[in-house]
Formats: sequence, structure tokens, C-alpha cells
Amino acid sequence: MRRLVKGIERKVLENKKDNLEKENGSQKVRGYLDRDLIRNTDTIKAALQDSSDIVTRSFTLFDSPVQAVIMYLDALVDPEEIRDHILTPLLLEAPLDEKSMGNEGKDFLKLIKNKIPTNGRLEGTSSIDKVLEQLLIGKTILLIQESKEGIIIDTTSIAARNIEEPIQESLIRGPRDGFTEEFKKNLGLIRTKMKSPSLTIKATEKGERTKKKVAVIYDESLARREIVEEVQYRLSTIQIDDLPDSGFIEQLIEDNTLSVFPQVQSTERPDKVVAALLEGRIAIILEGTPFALIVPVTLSQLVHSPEDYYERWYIGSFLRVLRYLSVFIAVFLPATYVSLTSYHQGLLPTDLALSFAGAREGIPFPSFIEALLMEVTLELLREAGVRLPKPLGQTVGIIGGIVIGEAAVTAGIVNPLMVIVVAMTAVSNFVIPSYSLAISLRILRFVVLLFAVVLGMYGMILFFILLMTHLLSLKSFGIHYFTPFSPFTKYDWRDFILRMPIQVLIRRPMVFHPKDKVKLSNKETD
Amino acid sequence: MFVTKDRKLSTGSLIILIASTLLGVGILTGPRSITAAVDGFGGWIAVLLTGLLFILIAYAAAYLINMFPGENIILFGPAIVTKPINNTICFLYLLYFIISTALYSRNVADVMKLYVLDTTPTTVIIGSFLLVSTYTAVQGINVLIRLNMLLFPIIFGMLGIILVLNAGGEFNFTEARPFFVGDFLTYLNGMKSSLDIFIGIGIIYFLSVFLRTPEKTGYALSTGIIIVTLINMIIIVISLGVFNFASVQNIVYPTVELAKDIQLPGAFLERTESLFMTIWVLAIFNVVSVTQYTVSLGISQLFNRKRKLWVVWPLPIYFLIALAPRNIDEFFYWRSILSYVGFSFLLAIPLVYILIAKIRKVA
Repeated sequence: MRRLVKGIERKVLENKKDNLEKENGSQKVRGYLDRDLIRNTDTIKAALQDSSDIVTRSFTLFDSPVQAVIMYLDALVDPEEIRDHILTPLLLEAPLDEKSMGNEGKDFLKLIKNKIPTNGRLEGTSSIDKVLEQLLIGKTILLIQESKEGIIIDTTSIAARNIEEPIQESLIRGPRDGFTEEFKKNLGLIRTKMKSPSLTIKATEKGERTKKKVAVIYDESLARREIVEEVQYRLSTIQIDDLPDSGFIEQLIEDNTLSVFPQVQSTERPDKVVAALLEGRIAIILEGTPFALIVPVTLSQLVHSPEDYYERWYIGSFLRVLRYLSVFIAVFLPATYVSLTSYHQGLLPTDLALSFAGAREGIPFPSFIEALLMEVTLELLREAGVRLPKPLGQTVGIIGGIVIGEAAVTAGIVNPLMVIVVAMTAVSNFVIPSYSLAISLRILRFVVLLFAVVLGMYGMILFFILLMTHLLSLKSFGIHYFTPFSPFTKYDWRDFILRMPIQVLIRRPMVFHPKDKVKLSNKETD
Repeated sequence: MFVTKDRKLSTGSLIILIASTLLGVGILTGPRSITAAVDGFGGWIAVLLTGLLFILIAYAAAYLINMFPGENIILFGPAIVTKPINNTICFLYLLYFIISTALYSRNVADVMKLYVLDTTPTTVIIGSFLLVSTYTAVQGINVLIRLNMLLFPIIFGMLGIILVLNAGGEFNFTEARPFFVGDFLTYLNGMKSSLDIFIGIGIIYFLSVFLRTPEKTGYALSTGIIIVTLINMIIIVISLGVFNFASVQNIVYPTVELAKDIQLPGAFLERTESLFMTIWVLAIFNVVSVTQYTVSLGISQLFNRKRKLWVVWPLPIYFLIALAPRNIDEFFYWRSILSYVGFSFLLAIPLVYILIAKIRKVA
């Protein structure tokens, strides 16, 4: 029995290997186009399972008896393009003279190609696989009687959204364009913002069944070879049916799946991607999603926002300090409140302790339950706000926040201080620019709450040590996650908690070991 | 990948490692036990003398390590005193580390129970502490060092604030005087009870595999020792000045009382001793996690086992030993005995090994 299973396993493995080899080889084995027009159309139709969106239109070329067929997938093409640029010239143009009609093969095809005034690429092919592949991305195939070669005409017109302002990362000041679902447009957004010949875009196809394009983008003169190779290696290990969003890639290539922290940065903003490329980092863009990935990333970068650089440095620094503070509040405030009220009342000045006690008078729950109750309510409200349509979402926020909070206090279930604490925490959490980091911190808040209720301030210290140990051991593509704090890189502190004036930021961040370290070479002030 | 490799320790990080491993031990109990031992005001002199003595030992240890750069006692020992003897010595030394580490975690529980968590069971406090330190020790030497570097400024800063505020406030210079009293014998007595501040440097015999510049070991060790000596001296003098000779002898943890004494006008928090407690937990945490790491490293080398697992397996042993002392007196008795054991290891290893290595001409 065991031998049988092993045998089957081996066979499966061999099959897999074969498939891989086939895919890696340039030619697949579906065969070539035939001289017979009808057989060709039938083969193609059969290969596409005779789906109902295949359009086959036969006609005669230039009023002559030569039969031709165009095939396309209805949903992917621009019908006007087909009418004006394929059918009109091929049907109505002056008939060919006898001489050229007699010439078969290359010259004839060339002539036809010349008659088609499309601005896309025209390609001749005889491989059925190539034909299928091109049909599936919205191109039209022209087959002619007695010709072994079909012509592929670019008629793609995929329904796509226009470039809009990114919803998740809106800024007061800064470029307003965001990525869309369309791959080409996204690459274009990056190219227009970075007109450098060293900008490298390497696209491959991922997803065994959906064939989505994945581009690895980096600046050849800046990005460290080793990191680029690591990214490419990790991408090459992805074997999956479909990649609906770049979040899939993120989860498949991140360093530590058990960590709560995001080890890959995702963004909708092209300016953020370009800034990252200029730091020697690497961007990954997936077809069909507006979220680009940036690797490697450090924790501090997830707290930074492009606005820090667009505004003057006082403003940028101030906002950053505020944001770091909000990270701490978002994680530790409820826990601090709980441990102060249930373990260390003595730590508070007498007046404050009295007012705390007064507020808590008549509350039937211990402060941990109280905190948990409010936090869970808040999380529910937040999730409800996200799920509901936009105008309703805000209403839920207001109704939930104000009405429930107020009612809970009046009903004597929670004390007003708790509501303040929870609200403060929520607001601080909204301040964090990276959505995925904000969620991680929301989870951590509950963990530290648990530590605080069991062991008070001592538990919080234990949690702090655990958190630090984890952050110190975490890496994103070989780069320490907690730099520049530790390992301590002195230079990067210029752009860490404070954002020094741009004139002072002479070098690129050292963390990523860029090949070219200097950013501003005209003025070496230090 | 290219930056993920474990890097060797620079001299600077060795200094921080040593300083933060030693710092947590003495600052809490030192003032009382040393003052009681010298039975007078000269506690700081005893600490200073002990510090100087340990600098000598540190240089002796560094000399031994320098004879075999890039190795540690388990690797170079067999060449000097045959393998069975060396392994026995190392094993006993590691056993000593296990016991002393377990007692530190017990100390945490005692202090926490006394000041902050009076109703929490000792087992919970010890257990949670050991679990966290084990998690850190599993991560390896580089994470440990970076954690030490991260925590050191916090501990140092907090201590500094407490000491400066006390020195500027309640400190009464006349209470701290006279500085020089007593004969040599009383100082010797004081030195005996300040031994355990410094015996932590024994980890270097095992951690010397990681040294990037073994030739600077002596310098690094002695710098760490000097930092810790100074801090301990200042704490003793200030606690004598703030309280007085009689009270310091009778307060179990004078440093905590120092923290308790601070009252800042307009301060948000009162009774900062629980804040200080948390800082001290960080300091003790450094000691425990580094020693746990050292033990796991030693065991993995001695028995050729996987290191990460051998941080975790001895956990029940730590836990049981930590629960063993029945009360605080027994705890202090155990610790005083252990300090002699540790000191003898620390002193004997370089002397014996160097001597035999010279005689047998191994190098």
C-alpha cells in the first residue's frame, strides 16, 4: 500500500516537473494553424470551450473570392476600432490587381498588413497557443484562406477606472493621482514621475490560471543587487492559481508569517513608490490592483507620510512626533488606564485618584471588563463603518460613537473616563498612515490589555520586552525592521523621529545599503 | 541573504552587555547588605575596592581568552585540562549560572509582591518573567545585545533621574559622612558582600566565541565594571545621605525607598517607586536573559545539541529553583553562598588554566 502511494506521489511529481518544463519552454504543444480556414476557426473555438463571447465574422477580402475570418472576444475589444480599422479597409478598399492576388504567402500578408491602419502592434503568427493567448487579452485575429499565418491586431479596450485620488492615503498637500487596476497605466504613472534610464521594470506572469502580470521595479543604479535577487527569488517561488490582490503576494513573500507587523509596505500612491525607488528599495506592481508593494520596509517608515517631506520641516517634524506619540497611545493607553485603576492607584496623585474613584463609583464591572466592552464596541463600529456605503458609514460612526458612549455612561455601565480613553485610542489609531500597521496595533492593544489586567504595570513591562524582542529579531528582506533605532544607524536619525531640513538630508537612508549613497551632492555641509 | 547573518560583537557592544548584565544585580539590595557588612559609612569604598579587584580578574580572564582568540572555554579547555575535567568544570559552572539566574527571577517576584502586586501568586510572577526571558534568549546573541543597548539608556536615565532628584532634594551631606572609617577588616567584610555585583562577568568565558576584537576584552570588561562600580557607589552614598546609617541598614530595598521619596511639584505621578520597579525589572531582565542564553550556548556546545531547544528545556529547572527558598532570609543566604561559588569559579578558571597552559605550553 505504502509503495503504491509513493509510486503515485512520484508520478504526480514527475507530472508537475513535466508541466513546469513545458511552461518554461517557449513552445507549447497545441500545434499550428492550418491552411483550412474552417478547421482553424473550429480549433480555436474548441480551445476556448466554444464560449459565447467569441465572435467570428467571415467576409471576403476586397470583393474578391478570398475568404477571411476575424475572431475576437466580444467583451475585451473596442468595436469601433474593428469596424473602422479592420473591416472597412479590408471590405471596401479598391480590389487588388490580378498580379498581387496571384502572389501567395508573405507578400500577400504584408499587403494586407499595410491596409490595416491600426496604431497598435501588428503581428503575424502561426502558433495556435499564441493566437489563444492574444485573443484572451483582447486582440483580434485575422485568418485568411489558404494562409498558414494569422494576423494579430491590437484592438484591446478593457473597461477601467480613471486615475483618481487614492482613498486610503489622502493628503492635504502632494500629488493627487493614485494607482488604478490597470497595469500599463500604473507603470506609466511611475515612468512619468521618474524619467531615469536606470529605472528597471521586469514583468513576469503569475497565477497558474489567471496569468496576471507582476512587475518588479527598481532603480538599477541604486537598489542593492542582493535584495533585488531575493525579491525575484521569493516571487519565483509563488505557485498559486490566482493573485486577486497584491495582498496575496505580500503574504506569500513576507519574512515572518507569524509576526503581527506588516513586513511589506503597500501603497496606492505613485509618489510614494518613486520615493521608495530612489531610496534603493524595490516596488512590486500586480495587474488588477491599485496597491503597489514596496520592500524592504522598516517600522519607522510605516509611521512616516509623504506629507512630512512636502511640508516645511518644522511641520513635518511636528507631525511625526505627534504620530509616534499616537503609536504609543494607540497601543498602551487602555492598558495603562486599567493597570492604574486596578493595581497602582497609589501612583496617581491623590486628587486624580479620587476623581478616578468617583467616576468609577457604581460601575458594576472591573475596569478590565469595562475597557474590553468599550474597545470591542469601538471595533464593531469601525468595522460597520467600513462595510456600509460611504454616507451611511459616517452616520454609524456618529450614532455609535456619541449615542452608545453617552448611553453607556448614563446607564452606569461604563464611566466617562473610560469613554475618553477609548476615544483617544481610536483617534490615535486613525493617525497612523499605514492601514496595515494600524490594524496590527489594534490587535496588540488587546494583548497588552490582557497583560495589564493580569500583572499590572509589571505585565506591561513584560509585554514591552516581548514587543521589543520581536521587533529586534524581525527582518524585512534581510533589513532589520527596527532600524534606525536598533541596530543604531546614526545618519538615519536625521529622518526618523524628526524630519530634518531637506538640505541636511544629503544621503539616502543607509538602512537599505543603496549603491549610490549621496542624494544631494552639491552641498556637503557636514 | 546578505545582512541577516549573526554578526560578532564589537568592543562597544561588549561594554554595554557587561554593564547591563551587572547593573541589575546590586542596585536594589547592595546599599543595605554592603552598609550592614561594613557596619559604617564606608560602603562605597568596599564597592570601589571590589571593582578594582574585579578589573584585575577581568584582565586575567581576558589574558586567557586572548590565548585562544575566537574560542571559548568549552573549545579551548580540553587542550589545557583534559576534556572530562574541562567538561565537568564547565557543567558545574553552568549549573551555578542556572541557580543564580533562577534566584534573580525569584528576587523579581519578591520585590514585586512587596511593592506592587501584593495579591498575585509568586509562581505567576516568576513564570511570566521566565517565559519572556526565554523568548528573548531563544532569539540569539545579536537580538540580546540590541535589546541591552535599547534598554540600557532607559535604565540608566531613570536611575540618573532618581539619583539627581534625591541628591538635589533630601540629600543631607552630613549623614553620608564620615567617608573614611573603619579598618581594613571591615572593608574586607564589605567586599565580601559586594562580590555578587560583579560575578556576572563570568559569562565572558562562554561568550568569547562571539568577540570580534578579543584583544580588547580586558578593556571592555573593565569599562563595564567601572560603570557599574560608579553607579553602585553613588547609590550607596546617596541612600546614606537621604536616609541615615541606621535606616539604610534596616530597609530591605533602600533604592526603592529613594524612588519613593521623590516628589516633583506639579508632577502627574506620585509614589514613583512602582515606576522604578518596572525599570529595575528591565535591568534584572537583562541579567536573566543573557545568562539563560549563555547556559543554552554552553549546553549546546557541551552536548552537541540544538541551542534554541536548550533554552527552553531547562525552564522547569529554573522555575523550581526559583521557588525553592522559603523566605527572604533564606533567599539572601542562598545568594551569599552562590556569590562565593561564582567568585571561586571566576577567579580559579583564569589562574589554573593559564598556569597549566604555561606549564604544558599549550597555545
